[in-house]
Amino acid sequence: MSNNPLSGSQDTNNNVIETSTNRTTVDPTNTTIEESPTATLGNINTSTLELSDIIIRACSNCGEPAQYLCKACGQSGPRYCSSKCQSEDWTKGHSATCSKATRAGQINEEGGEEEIAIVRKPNSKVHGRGNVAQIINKRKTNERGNPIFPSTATEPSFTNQRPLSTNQFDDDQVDEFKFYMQQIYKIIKPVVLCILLSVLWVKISILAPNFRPQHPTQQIIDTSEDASESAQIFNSFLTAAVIIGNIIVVTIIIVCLFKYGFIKILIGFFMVVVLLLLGFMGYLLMMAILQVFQIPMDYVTLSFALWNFAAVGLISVFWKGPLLLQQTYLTIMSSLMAFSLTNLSSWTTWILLALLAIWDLIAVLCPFGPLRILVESSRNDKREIPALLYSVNAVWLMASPGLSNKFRKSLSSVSSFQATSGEEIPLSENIRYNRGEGGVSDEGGINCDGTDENSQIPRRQSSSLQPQSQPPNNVSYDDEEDERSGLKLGLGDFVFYSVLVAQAALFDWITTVACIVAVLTGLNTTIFLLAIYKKALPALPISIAFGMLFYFVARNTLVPYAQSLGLSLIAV
Amino acid sequence: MTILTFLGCALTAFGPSLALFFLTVAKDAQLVILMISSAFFWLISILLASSIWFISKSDATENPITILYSVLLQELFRWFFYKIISRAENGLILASANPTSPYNIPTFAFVSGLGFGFVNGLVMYINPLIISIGPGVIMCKSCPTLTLFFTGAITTCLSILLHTTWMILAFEGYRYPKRNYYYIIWVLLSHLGSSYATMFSQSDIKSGCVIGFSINIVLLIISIVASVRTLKKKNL
Repeated sequence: MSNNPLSGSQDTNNNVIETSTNRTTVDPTNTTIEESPTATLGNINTSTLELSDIIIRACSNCGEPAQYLCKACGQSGPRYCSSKCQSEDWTKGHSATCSKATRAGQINEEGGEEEIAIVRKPNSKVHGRGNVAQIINKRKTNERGNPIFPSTATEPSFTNQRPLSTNQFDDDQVDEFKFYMQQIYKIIKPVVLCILLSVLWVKISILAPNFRPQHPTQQIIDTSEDASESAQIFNSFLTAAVIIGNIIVVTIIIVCLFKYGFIKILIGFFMVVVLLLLGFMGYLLMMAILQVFQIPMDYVTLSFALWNFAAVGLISVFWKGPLLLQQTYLTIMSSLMAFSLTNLSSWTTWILLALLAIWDLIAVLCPFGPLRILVESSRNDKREIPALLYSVNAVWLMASPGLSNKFRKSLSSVSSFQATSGEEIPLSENIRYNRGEGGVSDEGGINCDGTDENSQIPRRQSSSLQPQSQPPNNVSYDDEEDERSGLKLGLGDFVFYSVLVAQAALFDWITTVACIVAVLTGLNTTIFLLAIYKKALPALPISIAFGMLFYFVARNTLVPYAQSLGLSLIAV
Repeated sequence: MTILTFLGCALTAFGPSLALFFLTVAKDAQLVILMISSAFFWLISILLASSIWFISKSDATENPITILYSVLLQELFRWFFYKIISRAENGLILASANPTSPYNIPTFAFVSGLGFGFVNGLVMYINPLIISIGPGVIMCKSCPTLTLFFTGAITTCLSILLHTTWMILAFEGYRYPKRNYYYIIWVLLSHLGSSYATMFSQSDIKSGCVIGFSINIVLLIISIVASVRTLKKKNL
């Protein structure tokens, strides 16, 4: 199968694809790093760059045909043919006129980037998906031996400007820092929303016990409270092991499917899973809400509403739709998924979470881990991993093995285009955080008491935060680069954060608050580590570790402490 | 009545701090992250304090001792948090919205104090708040016409604001070049004073809760004036 993004049949940006195809043959010199024959994002980006840059400019220093430009000045700045000419021109006087040097603060630069990025937006292809939860650092891409950046190697030639160049270097890091912080904030909001929704569903379902979701393994393995303590723990462990076994199996199947290119099967599968998730779990939830709040409703209205809810969700996630709607649906789906897992006994849940954290570590960091293989193969083949990802700017359905939502370029390009119109952050237009939809298959499993492997694998697929692979080192900010840059958080991460907090919510509100803070701090820490190491990182372990620690300590000590002080009205 | 009590108490307790949050912090990503980190540190401190409480199996008669070590642990973690912020200061300032402004560190202090106070209020007050939705009430012992929920709400509101000002003063006091011990001592003593003053609310003294609230309000006013004066000094 040709995973060549250019040949995507469902792509609606055929014109751009063809253009880029033409481009790749014409312009070999402009693709700096990525030169693989498969049409990569780099080629397309370069081609789109070429489209807007048809006039061949002369180097400001030597007069040769020039293809690079000053990063700070952007389109309006001088052109250079090589970094040597750029350094020379810098000393000759560009240092005084460079917009980066003359700007107060970083506004110009961001404005420039924004300008450039926006110009490129309409041509942007959907490639940016990249891997599950990857952050691409735009700055970093440019820093890697990029001729457009006035390198510090030329420092000796302008000693009086040394502070300037070091400031510029710091400015890049500072911008990178700001970029990551914006990303974190943009991710925290849906994570908190998903967590709060899950807590809400759990609280509602406690009051309506006959509509609680049943997990298939619960019918096989008895983890009820009747059994003795040790038998209970053993059964919980068994249940958790079964679930994680499912997840591992589905993850491996997904990786194999992805490597051998059966993307369409995955997409179809994901669609079925999402439909079942929205349909059945939505049904259970609605019945629980109707019962708890004693709302009179007839079945006709209920089925009509449910059908519309599921259909709109399917369309907005898999096809086109407003970005806000896509994001809302992904949040709701993650919370439904987490809700479906809350009926496990508490021991099972905690053991499952601990095993998941360990599995996530192994799968993403070890060389033989399936998720790492997935990331690397998608990077090598320039294919995108199909997965359900929550993106800040565009919803990307990545083809992840096991996840039924395949990303389509047309989808992402449309959504990314729509996304950018509302995006206020100049740097991170393509920050996408993907929320892998782990629970999708669970839904299917619960309802048909069939395999629940599907849901688990998608979840697993997307539970890693990864820095996006560097796109080909293009001269300016490509759309591709823009689209690849961004935080990607798998939907599975959302689901398991919500599972953790929902389980804490079953005990007390204080543990809920403590676990929310712990999970958010874990997420912050993971993203900062991501900023430092710039490689794919698992998003679950740190948050789960903090969350479990806080839960168990708070449950035993903080809750009675707060109760005792609260009754005495003492504020500590 | 029950939902009304819930809404009234919730807004009394968290209204001013939520207003501060939405007006100043919510737009800036860096400040939100700082707030979450400071909440995390407060949680660690209170978990330690509650572990000590749990191990020593204290009951209500030992409240003064409980207050003592809880406050000391919280101040210790305030100092830890200051150390971490001061290490990361340069990066934080560079990445802030206004790198050249002299008010960056007080802003960080303000936001961290808000984080400390907010999670303090949430953890201590959320259980009575949720209970207030239900049908029962518990009356305050020293002011029998007020419910426990309402006095708790006022205490929470004051303590969140106090934490905010304490953090500003503490950051000012811990600053390396000229460590200002007056501020540090003031923060410690006023924290102890404020916590001990809340003991009045459930005591047998008539209208004890009024005494407790007035002490807290006086401490709050003095701390606010002191923090504003430290801000004025920055505007050199």
